[in-house]
Amino acid sequence: MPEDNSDSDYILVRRFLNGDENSFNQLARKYQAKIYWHARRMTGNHLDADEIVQEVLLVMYDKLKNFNFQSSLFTWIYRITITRSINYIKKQKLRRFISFDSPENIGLSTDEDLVKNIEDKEKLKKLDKVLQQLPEKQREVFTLRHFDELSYEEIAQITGKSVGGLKANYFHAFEKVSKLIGKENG
Amino acid sequence: MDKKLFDLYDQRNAVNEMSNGGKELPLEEKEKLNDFQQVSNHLKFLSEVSVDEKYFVSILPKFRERQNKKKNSFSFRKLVFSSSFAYATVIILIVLFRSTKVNVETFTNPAIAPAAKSYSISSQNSYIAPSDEYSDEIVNDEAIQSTLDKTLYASLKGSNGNGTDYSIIKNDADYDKVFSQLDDKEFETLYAQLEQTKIL
Repeated sequence: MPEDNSDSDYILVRRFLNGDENSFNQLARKYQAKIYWHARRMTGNHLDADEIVQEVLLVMYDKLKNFNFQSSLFTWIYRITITRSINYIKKQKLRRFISFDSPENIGLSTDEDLVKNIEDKEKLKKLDKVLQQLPEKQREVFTLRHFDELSYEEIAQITGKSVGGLKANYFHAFEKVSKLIGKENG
Repeated sequence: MDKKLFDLYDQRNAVNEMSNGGKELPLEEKEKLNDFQQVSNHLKFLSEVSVDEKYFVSILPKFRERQNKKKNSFSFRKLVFSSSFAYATVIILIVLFRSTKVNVETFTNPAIAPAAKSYSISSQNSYIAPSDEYSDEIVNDEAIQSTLDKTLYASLKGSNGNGTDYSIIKNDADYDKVFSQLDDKEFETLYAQLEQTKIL
């Protein structure tokens, strides 16, 4: 992240901790799209992603007082986002197992989405479908590397994994995605 | 897929050259790199969508609303639920109850099935039968089922020490309520236990 970005984050966090709620709003606005899209690619649907965004903001609000700038705020927010996303997916999996509803009714996609255009909806649906076929951990690395365009070093900081392991994960994910896209395109 | 070539492609994204350290690549490798690029372009095409910006505008007001609700409900929750870990126990019991149902239907030896079921419920550890205990024979013992139901609901009833009756868990909304009471640590503990039992 550029230095001025971290500086402005630092100022906003300090102001927020001194009671300026508007600074938190600015931080939320700055990062909300990144949080949303990461969550969306992890869960594959708008409603779950929206829920994760709300959870991440709540955690940010509650835990910013403990944030000591040992890493960048950006890394810290990503760490919260990936943890929340994985936990959310696990909860859904568990819910599917113990649910009274039939599995088809759980996580049923609704019309609610931030994409309104039909063509775009189809595109996103295709992408979600491909990503959902990756194992969670691979999906996580793939999303961080391919869509969020983070360096391996940044991903290593966020996930706590080694760069070598991440490269291997990304390779396997890319290989799988290539095959899936190939299949989809006939 | 060639890992070395992929690594080169991965780096190439940064340097954007069709060479390997200044050395011209063979045609075949160039083609493969182009294939990777095509996949990447296709993904980019799929991810480029126009979004309704109103959604992003609505995030903060929704967050503030939730925050207020959370603040208001916090003291009430504290009063009503003394230990949220009890919920984790409840979910484990429910899940084990369901998994035991599956196990019991596949036990070869009906004599061990009741013991296995009781063990599963009382110890909160799913009984995983050794492979020689499985067969295609279905044991449908109603007496066992009835005992199990009684045990389960006895455990659910008042398991949080406050006398809350968890036998009211009858639908998904009730489950959601229970989930929402779990903090991350509790959920992780629960999930790890379920993974150990090979249920998930």
